Amino acid sequence: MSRTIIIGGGPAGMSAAVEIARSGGDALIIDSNPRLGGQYWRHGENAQFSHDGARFFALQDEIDREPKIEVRAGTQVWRAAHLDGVSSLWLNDGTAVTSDSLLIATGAYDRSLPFPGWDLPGSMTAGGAQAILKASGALLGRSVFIAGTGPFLLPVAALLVEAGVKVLGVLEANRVNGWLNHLGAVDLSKMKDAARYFKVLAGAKVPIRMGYAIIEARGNGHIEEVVIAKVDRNFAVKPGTMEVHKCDAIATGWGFTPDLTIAHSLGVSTDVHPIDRSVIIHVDAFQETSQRGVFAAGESTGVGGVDLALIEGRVAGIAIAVQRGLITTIDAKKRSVGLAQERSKIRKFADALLSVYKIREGWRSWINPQTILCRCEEVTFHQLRNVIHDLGANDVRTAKLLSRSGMGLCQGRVCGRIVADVVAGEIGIQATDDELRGIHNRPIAHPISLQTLADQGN
Amino acid sequence: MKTADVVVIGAGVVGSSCALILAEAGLKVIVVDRGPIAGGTTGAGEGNIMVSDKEIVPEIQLALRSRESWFEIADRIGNNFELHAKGGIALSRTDAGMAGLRTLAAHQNAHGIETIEIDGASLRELEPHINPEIETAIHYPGDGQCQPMLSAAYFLRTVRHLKGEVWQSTEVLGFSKDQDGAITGVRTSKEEISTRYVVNATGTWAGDIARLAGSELSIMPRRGFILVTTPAPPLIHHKVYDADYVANVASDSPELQSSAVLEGTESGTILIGATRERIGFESRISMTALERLAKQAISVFPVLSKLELLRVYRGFRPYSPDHLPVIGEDATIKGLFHCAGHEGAGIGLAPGSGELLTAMILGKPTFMDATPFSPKRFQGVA
Amino acid sequence: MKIYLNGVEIEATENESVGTFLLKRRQQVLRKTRFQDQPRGMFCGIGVCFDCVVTIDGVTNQRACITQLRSGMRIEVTS
Repeated sequence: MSRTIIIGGGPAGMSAAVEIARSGGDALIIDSNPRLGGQYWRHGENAQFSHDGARFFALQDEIDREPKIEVRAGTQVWRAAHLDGVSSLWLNDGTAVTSDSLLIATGAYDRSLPFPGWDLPGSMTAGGAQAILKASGALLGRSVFIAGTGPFLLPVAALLVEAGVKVLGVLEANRVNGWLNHLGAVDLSKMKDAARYFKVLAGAKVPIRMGYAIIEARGNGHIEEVVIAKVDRNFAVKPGTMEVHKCDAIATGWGFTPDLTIAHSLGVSTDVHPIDRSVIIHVDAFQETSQRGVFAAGESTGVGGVDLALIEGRVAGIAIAVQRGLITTIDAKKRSVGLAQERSKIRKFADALLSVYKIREGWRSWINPQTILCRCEEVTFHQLRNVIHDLGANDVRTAKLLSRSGMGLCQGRVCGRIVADVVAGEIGIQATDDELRGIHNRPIAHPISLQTLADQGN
Repeated sequence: MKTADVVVIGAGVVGSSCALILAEAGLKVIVVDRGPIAGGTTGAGEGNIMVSDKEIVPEIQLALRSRESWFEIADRIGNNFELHAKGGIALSRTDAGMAGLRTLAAHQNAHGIETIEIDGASLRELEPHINPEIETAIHYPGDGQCQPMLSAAYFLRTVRHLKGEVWQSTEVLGFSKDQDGAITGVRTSKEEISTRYVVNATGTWAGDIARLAGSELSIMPRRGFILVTTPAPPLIHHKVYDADYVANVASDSPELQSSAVLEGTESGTILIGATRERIGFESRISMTALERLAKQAISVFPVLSKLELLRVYRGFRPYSPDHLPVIGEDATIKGLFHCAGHEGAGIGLAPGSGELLTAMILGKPTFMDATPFSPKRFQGVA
Repeated sequence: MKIYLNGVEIEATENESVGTFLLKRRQQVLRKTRFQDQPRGMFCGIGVCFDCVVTIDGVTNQRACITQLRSGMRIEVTS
């Protein structure tokens, strides 16, 4: 088998590369960012904001020193195809690479929910607020609300507080009791992390409000104030609980959406997660997908955080090494001791978190006819309702085609799930599994210069 | 059981045009489609309303009338589908190509299509970003553009307002006939519809419906890709295409034919066509097709080299053995009318086809001699 | 390094993205939307949403959040 190509140089991709190299094999890591590390390890020049840097630097050092691992950073896969056991990837530098040994480690990105004003400058995702701070110390604002659901809100809030931002509140839409018990159930280090975040927030007197959400952002050309409200168990606004607060930016986080564009192009089987109905790559115990030679690891097989990604990367790397005949199954077993159990434990915990921090459909009551649902094409709720009720669109795909939702630059990455849920809600059904899968159908995975495409033919 | 004057099978641009004109004529119409509105080739169309690429005389006549009909419909029901009389520009970079264009233009003139030969200076006035090496072209003021999916959707909306019905996700299972073999009903996955007239407007799948009814119709798929660029400020103002396009349309070769067809859209994206291949219903993207389209596009408008490809879509044009559409009553099954096989001209020819079809069903005179479109020419009857 | 913002020469020192560079200069608004002329800035910060697109060296639709500053870069922002 040929050199393994690893798409995505985050925790999963890096740990897989290291396992393959330790087995004597070669690998090519392709990543769109200028540096390895993925979303989790975003290191700019400001190392003081690096999160859990030791593990990253260890992997980075090993990769740097290993001649068998080639890294093409700042490189995007714009098209992927799989035929007769061989995967082909076309890269935005005009080259193409092929292999019968592939690892998909494309990670995940923030899931977003719309509300009036979510498109105003100053409104960022929680991941975005963290990313710009980690990469270069940039602050999204001076006085900020953090809202959404999920344990990710805490570290983002703590990071902003430590960077000198006035965090006016952390609004967790779900009512979560016994937080620390949940986290402690897995391991003490998680509990310690959480305790540290709470300490930082308490020290800055940041109110943490359960069962609250930002239901509107307002301002003249940028965010100047928000309307927050108490929400019930289904995320519907409780009447009479609205409050208006001045702020200059917000960071909202609603969990993560696995990035399945390339997986979809390669044609590997996917599952619809029973808890949050996100679409994830189906893998077996060795992280192999439905196509022989194609493996997947990390958030794209199910959101579970950095620890899970690292383990899945190792399991995949070892399994790839076996498949390529680089090591024996006996060697593999020795190196895998404990990994499967650890993986299982973390997955269970991650699923438990998904149940607790679920997105509940009452968010649809936050939007009004003028609310933008597709940001790129500026499609409002009113326009989407129109194509359904006036033009007769009765499935997600047709509603998108007639309204232009999802046809803009982001190709539905931000709005895809939103539009699917709104359309289904309007028609009075649930989005089907295939409709949810269809959101990730992007044969052109990334915009590619026409000149590069033309030159390829030469 | 449901009753209708006419059942139109196919909710694409051709089916919806037929349905609209039939409904406006006072008939109770039920449109049935196994998928959603514009779920077939219409959903992959560029939106071409072209008179400029027509060569065969009957097709010229149909195209001219149909083009007028488009604008009349927009006046009647509102222009909610980006209809635009933008005009077309056909160019060639070879002497032979230009000679061919001139001959074609002269022929088209003789049959009512307005053509204006323009020099480099006039060309650059109409299209400032065109390749400066291009020195002559033919301007066709009659060419137009629309958004095909919205067109079908809005035509069908009017059909509903005129008491017609649209049944999506409804499969046609079979036909009921009387002892003379004439249509008496359509069996669907929803319910049976009693009717004496059926319009087969299923485009690339028209052969399947014909067979289901006990007849034959040879309509084959001709795959095409369209590149969509990232949005840009207006760079291309007309439908601009290479003269080779016409040759490609008429070609019988199964191989990949491609020539540049370019235009801007109201949403700011630029559509880059066109390829033609006889490759069945193969839906995987051909990298060769993409590369050729990009190359051709840049050679006509060098400024495009700065734009990016955002997405690609593909469709299967329905073509008949002689490249003319099939419009008319089936040779053997009374009451079954076909309106399909418009190849890459379906959008432009749809309303005109609908008018011919409606006249035929109502027993009224057709606006042109429709014999050249008759299904009988393929169905072994003189 | 010297870069150009809407034609004006500016000094830039850090190795960072166009987006964070502009944000630190209090330039939150990066463009106006093409249909409704509404202001947009960085949203996802990681190159997924394409809201932060600006014109760089004459090429449109470049994501400010993931494009690193380069000496001589010409950035055009509409606000």
